[in-house]
Amino acid sequence: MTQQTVRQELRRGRDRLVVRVVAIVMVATILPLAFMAVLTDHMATEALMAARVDGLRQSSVDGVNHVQSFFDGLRWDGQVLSRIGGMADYVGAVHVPGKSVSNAIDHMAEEANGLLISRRVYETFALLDADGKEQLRLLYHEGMVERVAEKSLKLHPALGRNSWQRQANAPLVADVDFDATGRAGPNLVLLVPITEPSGQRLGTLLLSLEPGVLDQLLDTASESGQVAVLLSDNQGSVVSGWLPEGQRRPKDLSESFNDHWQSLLTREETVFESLSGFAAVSSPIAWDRLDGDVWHIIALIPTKAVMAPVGKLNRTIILLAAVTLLLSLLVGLVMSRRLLIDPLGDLLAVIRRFRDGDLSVRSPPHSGELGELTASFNEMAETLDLNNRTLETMVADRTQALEREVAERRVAQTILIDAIESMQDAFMVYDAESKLVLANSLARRFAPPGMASRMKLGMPMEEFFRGLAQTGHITSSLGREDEWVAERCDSHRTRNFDIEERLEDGRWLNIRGWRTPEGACVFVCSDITERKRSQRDLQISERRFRDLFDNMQDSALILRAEAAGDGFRITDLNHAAQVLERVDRDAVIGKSLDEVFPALRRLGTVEALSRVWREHRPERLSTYFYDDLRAPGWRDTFLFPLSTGEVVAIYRDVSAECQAEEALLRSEERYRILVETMSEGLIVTDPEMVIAYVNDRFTQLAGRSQNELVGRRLDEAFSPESRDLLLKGRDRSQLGADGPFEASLDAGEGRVVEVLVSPAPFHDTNGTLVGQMSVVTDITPLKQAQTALKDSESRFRSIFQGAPFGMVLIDGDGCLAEANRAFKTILDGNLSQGLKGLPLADLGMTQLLAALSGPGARSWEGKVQLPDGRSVWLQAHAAMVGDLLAGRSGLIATIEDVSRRKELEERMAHSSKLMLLGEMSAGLAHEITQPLNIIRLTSEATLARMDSGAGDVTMEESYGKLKIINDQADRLFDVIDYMQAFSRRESEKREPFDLFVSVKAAVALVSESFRQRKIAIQCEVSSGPCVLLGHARQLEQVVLNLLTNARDAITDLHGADGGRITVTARSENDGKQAILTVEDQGKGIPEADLQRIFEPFFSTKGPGKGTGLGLSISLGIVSGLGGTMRAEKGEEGGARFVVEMPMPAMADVPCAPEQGEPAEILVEIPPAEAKNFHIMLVEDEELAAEEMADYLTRAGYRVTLHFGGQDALAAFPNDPADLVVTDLNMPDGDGRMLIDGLLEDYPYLPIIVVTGRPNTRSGELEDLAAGSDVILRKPIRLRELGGHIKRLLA
Amino acid sequence: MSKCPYSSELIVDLNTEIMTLLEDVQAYMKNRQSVDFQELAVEDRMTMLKARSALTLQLTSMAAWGLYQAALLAEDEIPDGLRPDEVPDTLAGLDSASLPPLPEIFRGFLTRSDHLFRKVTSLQAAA
Repeated sequence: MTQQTVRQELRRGRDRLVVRVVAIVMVATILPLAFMAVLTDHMATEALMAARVDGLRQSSVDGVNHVQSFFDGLRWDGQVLSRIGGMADYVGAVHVPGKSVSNAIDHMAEEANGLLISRRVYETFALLDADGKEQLRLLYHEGMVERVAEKSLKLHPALGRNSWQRQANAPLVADVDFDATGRAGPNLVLLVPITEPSGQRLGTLLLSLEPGVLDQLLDTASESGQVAVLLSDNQGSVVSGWLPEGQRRPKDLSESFNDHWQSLLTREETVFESLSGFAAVSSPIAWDRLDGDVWHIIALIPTKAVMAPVGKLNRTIILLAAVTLLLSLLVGLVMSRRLLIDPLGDLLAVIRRFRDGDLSVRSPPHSGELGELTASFNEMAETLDLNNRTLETMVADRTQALEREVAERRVAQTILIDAIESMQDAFMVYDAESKLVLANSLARRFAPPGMASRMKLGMPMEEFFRGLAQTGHITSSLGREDEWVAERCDSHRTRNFDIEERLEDGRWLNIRGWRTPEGACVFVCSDITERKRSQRDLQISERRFRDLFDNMQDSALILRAEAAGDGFRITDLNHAAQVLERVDRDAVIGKSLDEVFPALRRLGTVEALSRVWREHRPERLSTYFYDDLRAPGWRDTFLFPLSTGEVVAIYRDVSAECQAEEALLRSEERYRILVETMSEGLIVTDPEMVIAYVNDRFTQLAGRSQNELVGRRLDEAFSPESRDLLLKGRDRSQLGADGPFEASLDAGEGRVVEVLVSPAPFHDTNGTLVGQMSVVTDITPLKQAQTALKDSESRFRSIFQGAPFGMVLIDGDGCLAEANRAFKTILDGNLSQGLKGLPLADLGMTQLLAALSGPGARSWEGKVQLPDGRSVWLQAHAAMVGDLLAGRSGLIATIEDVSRRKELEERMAHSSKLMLLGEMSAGLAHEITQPLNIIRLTSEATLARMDSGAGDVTMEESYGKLKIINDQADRLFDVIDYMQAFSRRESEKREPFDLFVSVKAAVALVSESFRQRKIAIQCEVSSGPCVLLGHARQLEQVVLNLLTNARDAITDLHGADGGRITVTARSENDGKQAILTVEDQGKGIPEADLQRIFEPFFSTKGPGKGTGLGLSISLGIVSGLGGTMRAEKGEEGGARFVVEMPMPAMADVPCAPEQGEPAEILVEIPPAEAKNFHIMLVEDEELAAEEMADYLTRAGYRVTLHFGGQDALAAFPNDPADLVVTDLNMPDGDGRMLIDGLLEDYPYLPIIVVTGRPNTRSGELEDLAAGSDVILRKPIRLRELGGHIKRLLA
Repeated sequence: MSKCPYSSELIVDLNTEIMTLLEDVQAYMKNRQSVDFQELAVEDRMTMLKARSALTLQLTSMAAWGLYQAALLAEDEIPDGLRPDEVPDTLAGLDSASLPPLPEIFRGFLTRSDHLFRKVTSLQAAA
């Protein structure tokens, strides 16, 4: 046992003694205190039990109330009452007095059946009749409803009787043997009366509870398990009861309970004393019994088990507890002194000596606990003494071992230092204070000059680095010595490092350092100059390789095999591959080849890669089409292994080459098809004219198969006559002068095909003929056509020259290509020489050529002025021709001189017009007579008043009379002007005119004369202008012709009774067509004559009535307007003529000739402005001249009057006038002569011509008055004359 | 075996051009020529037939030459016999100025063929 153990044992023994002393004291103290605590606890328990009794009481009250609620519920069960009440009302309603209620009972039985099953709480349903006799009973037993025959029923006699007196629906308790077992017991019964509406009682319904229900309810009341529930009658006898623990002891209870029943109801304390164990009772409840008794339910609270009587606190007990306490303390103290404290002091003294080093000391023995402690001490002391001696021996042994270890370490240190010295790297060690503790000799070699000598043990790390920095030995420290030193020291002191530094002499050092756990820093410094150089060379080499790799034209892919060569992963790819495959290098590096190029495995490329990787042999793949959607195309690939174990794929896109090859193949196919199907024969021969190839077309032409032709000489396929040609052709081909020639092909069976042979020789680079290709064209149809053409041309020429009318061929340039004799006759032979090539325009036939060359009908009729000055009417018809003009388009035309016929027609038309004028004479006479009559009457009346000298004619009256005469004179001149216009020949110039105006004018001309014959003209003309291009008088002539015919037809049929002519004029088709109709009430035109009436000289009138030219001329006029004219049957049986004429577009209608400026003409001349002007007036009619001179003089002009041209012309130089007014027809020098004479010397002299000449032909009057400024036709208006003078002088 | 001195792309384009023109000419002959033929004078028809024959000959000759070059390019085996190193100018005898008014479309064919022939001869000269 060691000393420490002994001490621990002693300490433990001392502690046990202390504990025992304390325990004795505590026992003496705690016992009385515990007694007091028990009392206190008893009091608390009593209070708790009282509370529990209250709880039980409340629980019993709740249980009894529950039973009561159940019965109340039964009594007022809404559903039961409703159903039962309903059944009772039903039975009452169907009851027939004097008869059985069996039907009603049956019905009720059904209802009751459902009720019993649904409620389950009722056991019995019974129906009693009015005498209380039971008619029906239903029993509910084990889920089934059983109907019991009424004969076997036994009911408590009191039920029948009491049922009448009891309140409806009130529950009863009765001993009823419902199940006919002979066992009656208390049960709950409901009685429901059945009455008629009159109130007469018919019977009773009875419902009873199951016997067990009551028990269950009482169990519920005692549900706490500790409440006794009793059922007693009204006399206090216990009928039944339930005690805690499930024991049912009604008899025992009844003996003790009945005696104190009355007290039970009033004095509970008494009950407690009498009924031991029951400390409380709840309020009783009661219900009626059938026999008029009342039963009560009483709940008792058991207290015996839960609350024993405690009594009052016993003072004696408390006092005894206090005395016990004091004695205990005293005894404890004495016993402690003798038995424990004194021996313990002795023992402690011995222990102190032992502790001071006296290991031999021992304690005398003691008894009891202290004795054990003393024995333990002695044993411990013995053990410690022994251990001390053993320890001294062990120390001596250990000292010797340590000395041996130190010697061994010294040897190891020497070996370590030698090893460090022999290292190839510099080695330095700094201690935790960053002072050099070890450095091999190589370390000094890396130090800069001057620094090595200072490298001694103990040298601070900072000094070492500063020395390096100051000497510039480390290039990275240049210019930043302090910063560099701080960085290094901090770096080297705090963490491991591995850096590379370049020295000023170009060498490279690798310095590695690490920290030992003791804080020392070990440096190893290596010269890595060679390694750096190698690295640089390697980098350059890599860069070159990368440049080469990235810039090579072909795509390159470096792949690393995986999965034993079954798959490859991309390790690198060059720029060309990225461009071709449209991938990003960073995105695909490291990825599986299958993932980036999924199609390669299917194409066998992956398999080839595996092969190259396994066999380590390069391989070139066949060109394949890579059909990846990203970059499809043809690939030419070369695979080879790398020494690194990788595989390189060098490939390029050869799509262009493949496509070119494909295109070449397509070209061959196209050529073959073209040659086979071409429209011309093709022959290929060798230099010896032996056929090497013929196409299908040639076999068709030659009538032989390819087999028959190939291998034979070419000339054998041709007719004998052509063979020489072929041989010559071959010679020409060989000479290079090949060209097409005609030949005959022997097609067999005597059939000869005319062909055109075009040979082409082929020469090699030496100029040697290597073959010939010939195209053979079938020209048989052409040759036949040429023959036919010659025949046709001969016949044509005969007809052409022999024609009785002129025939010409006109080329596309409008020149004569050919002309026959008749045409030359038209030209009168003078120009017949050299007609070929002569332009038709030179023959005055420009309009003719334009009409025939234009679209539509190539017909024309018109007047032509020939080169010799003659004017002839020509009628021409033409047709387009091609072949006759050497393949060029041209015209063939017939041209006939119709001058004679036209002259005749014109005369006849004019005659017809004059005849019409004669026809109109009556009307015209009326038109003239009327204004003359007015003039005469007015003038005579005025003169008569002036002659009478009455002098009552005022200026206003005179002005009015003269105005009437003037207006009537205008009217008269209009009639005369119209007659002149109608009777004169029309010019050829077409002018716009209004159809409606012309129709009205024509109707007006004849209406008077027709009226005299009782023929009315109904003129229906649309409003607005209807402009046509032509001659208004001609159209009026047409209308007059039709009116005259209509008049004659009416007169023939109706005689003096007359009739009606209807004239309509309108425009249709949006103003594109004008329609004129004239319909009479005559007998009409026979059907057979409808086609002939427009022929010249055809007339249905009698002899001497008409010339038969009217309709013919009218048709000519209408045709001239581009229209048509037809006759048809009218609605009233007469004839109706319909004229349809095209209306020109407004753009084609020329403007009407300017008629002067009325606004200026009608302005009066102010005398002040006119007095400075001299007007020469030349007029042979004295009265007219004087009136005009008077008017102009009064207007302020100076007027000189002359009566002849000669006189005026002679006088003019002496008294030049500012303006000349002259007549044209004068006996002494006409106006023409005067105008010419004056304009010769005075070219700007204003001249006004006043003439009575009619405007016979368009342009004729203008020619006569050429040079004048204004032409006024007589009769003139003085104001108009004055207006023109003013305008010209202004 | 001599080698084709031209690039495959050049020969492909040229052959395509020749074939296209040849097809155009054949299509014209089958579909349109008869109509145009009727509008020509009989004596001009023979001229046109000669021109047509010469045109066909020149086009087929150029096509043969082009295919020969293609075969050289493809390094195909070419049997002895026709090895057209030159193409005859079959249209040389046609003076367009003296030709009758041939159909415009046909004149276009002649022009196109002449251009192709010039292209072929210039290629031959360059080689």
